[in-house]
Amino acid sequence: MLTIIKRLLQGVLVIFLVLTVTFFLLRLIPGDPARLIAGNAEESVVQELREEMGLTKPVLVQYKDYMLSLFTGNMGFSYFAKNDVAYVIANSYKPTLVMISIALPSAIIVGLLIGLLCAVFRETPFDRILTSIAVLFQSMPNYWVAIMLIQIVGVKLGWFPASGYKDPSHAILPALVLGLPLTGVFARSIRTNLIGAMQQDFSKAAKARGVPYLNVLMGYSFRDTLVGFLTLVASQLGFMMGNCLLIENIFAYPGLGLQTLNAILRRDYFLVQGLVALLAAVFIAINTLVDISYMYLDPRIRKAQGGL
Amino acid sequence: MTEKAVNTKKGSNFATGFKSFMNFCRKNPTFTIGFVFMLVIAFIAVFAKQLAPNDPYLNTPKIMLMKPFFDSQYPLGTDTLGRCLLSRMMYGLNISFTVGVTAVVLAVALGILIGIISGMDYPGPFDTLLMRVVDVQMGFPFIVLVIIFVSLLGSSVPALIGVLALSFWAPYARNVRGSVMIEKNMDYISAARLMGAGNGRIAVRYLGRNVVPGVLPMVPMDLSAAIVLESLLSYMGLGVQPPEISLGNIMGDGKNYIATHWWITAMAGIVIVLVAIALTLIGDALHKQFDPKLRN
Repeated sequence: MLTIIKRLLQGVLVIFLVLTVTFFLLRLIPGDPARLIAGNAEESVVQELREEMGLTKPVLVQYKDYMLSLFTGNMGFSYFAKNDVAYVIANSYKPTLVMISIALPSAIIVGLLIGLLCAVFRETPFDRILTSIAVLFQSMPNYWVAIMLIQIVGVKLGWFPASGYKDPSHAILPALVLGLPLTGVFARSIRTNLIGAMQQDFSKAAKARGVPYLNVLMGYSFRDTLVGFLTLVASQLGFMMGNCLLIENIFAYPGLGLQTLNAILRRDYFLVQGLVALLAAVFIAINTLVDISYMYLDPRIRKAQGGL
Repeated sequence: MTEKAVNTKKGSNFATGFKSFMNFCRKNPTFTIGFVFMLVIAFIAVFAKQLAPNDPYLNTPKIMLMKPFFDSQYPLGTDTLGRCLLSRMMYGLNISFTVGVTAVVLAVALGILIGIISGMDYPGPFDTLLMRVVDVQMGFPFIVLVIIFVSLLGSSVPALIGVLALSFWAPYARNVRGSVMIEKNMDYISAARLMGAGNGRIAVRYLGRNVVPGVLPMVPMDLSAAIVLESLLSYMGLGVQPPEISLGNIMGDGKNYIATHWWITAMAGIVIVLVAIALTLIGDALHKQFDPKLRN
């Protein structure tokens, strides 16, 4: 229990640091939102706008104001969406969530299947072909896959919509781009670890005791690889969130990623801060959850961490 | 096999080193394929100027958007301004490699340095501070970081190298710190201390040698990630700026004509895919070699 509380407190500290870094970095970048809103208006008008937006105050005062308002649950105001940051986030998380909830489970299932098959039929041509496909999936730059898929599947074949978001069918191509490299990574890791586990003594002993092959495979060897697999899934989630930003940009897919990118480009300060904090929070929450689940899954870790 | 691997690393004797390297290649055919391919690509990248059949900057509007594999003068066709695509890709490889390799070397050096300092200081204040920085770095959606830094520093090649180096150092630091925390309590370190070795000497001569091999397998993967990321940033217009050429730029140029002339973007992408595959194969073999659990 103590470990969990400690982790959560550390998480809060990291989010705070991430927010601080973002806050000051954003204000260091040349270009300001008032100028972007006002367009070609005269300098005096822009200056008025800046004052209205609170940008003329010293940066440290702005920082203090922002942090204080965060404690009251106010994440600030988006200049371009002309609404609260919380509202903007609440309105755009759905497409991203749909995309991830298609991509991640399919990548895990397909990756596990390919990895299992490869390990069972290892060193056969079947294994070599599947492994090569996995390497290929993993190595293709996702934006390139996205462009090619839009051209081939979206435009030439017209099977799935290639941009925007109206219903979940719009999520299929982006989810495919997001999921393919993950599938490759998962498949290869399961294959390597499973082959390792199948050669270990506990698998051999079970086999010698007359446990049926499938039981040895699933109940002994495969079980041993699960903790490692969990770590891998968690470590890929961070990359995945970065990739969402990119993929949503290419597919003009109106989720959190596209919001983040636009917010940065428009210097929509509070929106960027809110989104970055959200991403960091999700990232930390997942890692903490994974650490906790280790303690349940692996008694050795439970002991080393001083118990639950 | 273990002893031979040690020989290769130390390179104390070139002949034995070479022999055991060849042995390693024979045992890992996928490594050999990747390694040879990377040698060829690196050769093309380094000697792009000498090898390119045409001037990659020369506009020849008469022959614009020529199809690939039709003309021996322009084997891969031409782009919208009639520039030779093969030559452009060779020059592009040069810049992509320069950026990728420099960035990863910087990232590894920084990561190892911070990792050793942090590990030796553990559980001191430096360690706590540095590891929080690592946490922030790893908890930060790193594309956001890259975009912010690029807008801050402007998009030039040195800025790009710095940004990429900043995105890759953290895992090295964490990994090295982990091994230093184990190694520093070993007998050979205490023995060295008894003989009067100071912190600096211990860090460089003893710890450095033992923790560096642990992070080596990460390098090819990160190099591939750096090359992909560079091409991505250039494709989005945030990286290498025209008239300088990078693989991403070529794809970005091709993007506008993709509906009718898809092969421009496709070919530049295939080059990156092949490089990434080769580096993955190399990384896999190194992982197998340096991770005792995966050996045999």
